[in-house]
Amino acid sequence: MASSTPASASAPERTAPAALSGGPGLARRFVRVVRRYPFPCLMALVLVLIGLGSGLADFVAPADPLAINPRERLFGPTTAYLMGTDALGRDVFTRVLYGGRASLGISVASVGFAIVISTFVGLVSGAVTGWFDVLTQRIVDILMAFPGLIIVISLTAFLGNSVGLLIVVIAIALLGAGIRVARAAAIQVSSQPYIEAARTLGAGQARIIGRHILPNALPPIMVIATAQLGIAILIEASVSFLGYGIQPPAASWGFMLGAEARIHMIEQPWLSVWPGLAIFLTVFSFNIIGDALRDAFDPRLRGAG
Amino acid sequence: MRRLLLAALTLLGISMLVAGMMRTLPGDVVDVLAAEAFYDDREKDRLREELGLEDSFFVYFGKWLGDALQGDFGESLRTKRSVGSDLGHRLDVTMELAILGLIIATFISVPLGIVAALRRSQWPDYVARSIAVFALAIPGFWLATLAVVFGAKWFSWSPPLGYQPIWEAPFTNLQQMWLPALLFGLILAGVQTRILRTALLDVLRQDYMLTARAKGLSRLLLLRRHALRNSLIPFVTVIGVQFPVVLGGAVVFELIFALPGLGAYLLDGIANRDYVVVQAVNVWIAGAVIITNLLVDVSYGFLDPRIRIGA
Repeated sequence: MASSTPASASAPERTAPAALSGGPGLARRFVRVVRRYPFPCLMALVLVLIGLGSGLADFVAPADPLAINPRERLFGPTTAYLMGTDALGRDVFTRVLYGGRASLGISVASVGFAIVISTFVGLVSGAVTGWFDVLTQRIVDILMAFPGLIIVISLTAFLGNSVGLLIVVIAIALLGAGIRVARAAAIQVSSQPYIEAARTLGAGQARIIGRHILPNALPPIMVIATAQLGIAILIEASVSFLGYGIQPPAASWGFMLGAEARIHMIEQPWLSVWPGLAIFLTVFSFNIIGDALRDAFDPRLRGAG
Repeated sequence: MRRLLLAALTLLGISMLVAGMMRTLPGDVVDVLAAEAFYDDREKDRLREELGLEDSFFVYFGKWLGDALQGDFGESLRTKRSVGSDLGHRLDVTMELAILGLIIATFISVPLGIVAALRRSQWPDYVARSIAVFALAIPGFWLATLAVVFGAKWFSWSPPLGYQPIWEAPFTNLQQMWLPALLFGLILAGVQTRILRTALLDVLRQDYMLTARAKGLSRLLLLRRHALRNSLIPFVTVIGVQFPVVLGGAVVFELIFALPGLGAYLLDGIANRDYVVVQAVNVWIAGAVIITNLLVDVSYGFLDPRIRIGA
């Protein structure tokens, strides 16, 4: 009896992403996805390149991100310096790569942290309801009343700006929206007949949430996680821009646009272009991929497209 | 009524949370302040008492709440000025920026959203959607930085210093505000366009649209009376949802364009370790968000009489 429950529950999960089902070979599936979503796949490639460039900055970067060279300061783009040099003669391309490592690392960590907590809290509060649900709803109301950037600067400014703390604080700013989405998904899934069936078969609350609701509620959670990666990058960049994030001399996209750099931008406007372009491209890619995921998961839109 | 109670409860929770956080910050606040201002021990004790740090949390919070309800948010530790009246002046600036930005965003997003929905999957739709997706991903502070840098480089323009309140010098004020408001509006228009397009597409699919067409209504009347009215609820909701984003973005825009608003006040408070100011600004901003959400909820009743009857 007990062994038949997971099998019956995972059936709808397996058929859910239409773009991925069907063809047996992994390569053919891949081609199908690329053909169906060419632009999102292109942006995913861009993202992989940005991720590899930043992640492997130690091996890829043409220079030392901290090496000062006063004689070659404020260069425009040249063959030696792809993106020019900053006020201290540091290679901007190298610093954009290292800045990406900080930005992407912090965002991925804080979204991972936030999504685990908000999935757990949201699913439990949507499935169990009762006082726990009422309590979390009030907490979510409180969290949602603070603009993300304002929580983060208020907290980091007083608690200090270590990377670990920055990750936790950005995660707190993302929690409210994540809990709402997970809760809504749990409520929707809970009303399905197969949940009723599992309960009739004697499955406990924890088993129902973990084995039945969680896999079926995953698509909207994945969509919000992708969107939140973009938001986390924007928050981290804004905080570093204001000077409360990653501390100099370490490179970060936000700080490279901040007050200290701004003084030199009139002299060398390229300085204002590159880090912003990097932030924009990254956030843009996350948004496009998030949209494509939503299209793929949402049956209503799938039929229309 | 229930909504109102919930909103009041949330605001109370927020005040307690912020006050609690300010009190449990690591390190002795007074020591930090005293070290910076070269206070002696007697002055330190006086400051401790003034801040209510000798009392238990509930006594402290009760006092703070009682004063706050009367509009007294304490004195700034740095400037010794009343935080309540400072907040009032600065709220004007931020609200002006927020309202101008939202108006500009609406002027951009309504035509774009309509064109995109009516010409679905044709080039106007693609253009409108591309603009929206671009606007969504551009960091506000980058756009503002580019405007300042290239404005100076190409047009020898720089943001005017010395802010003039709109009530005293409307012309000078608008001269200072138009560019930040325009950039702000551009960024906000992204989300609005997308929501309006989706809402319109949803309405256009409905059976009553077909009925209205069959009755022989003109396209314009159809759009105005049936489609747009029914898309208003998601649209108004998104403006409510955007409000926290607006307030967060104001911090950055006020910094770059040297506008003395709430965001700039918060940054000053943080830089001066002025706990009284930071606490008050956080509570005000959260309060503004809650009140906006309440107004959005109330507006549903006006936009759709069915909701009013249902409630």
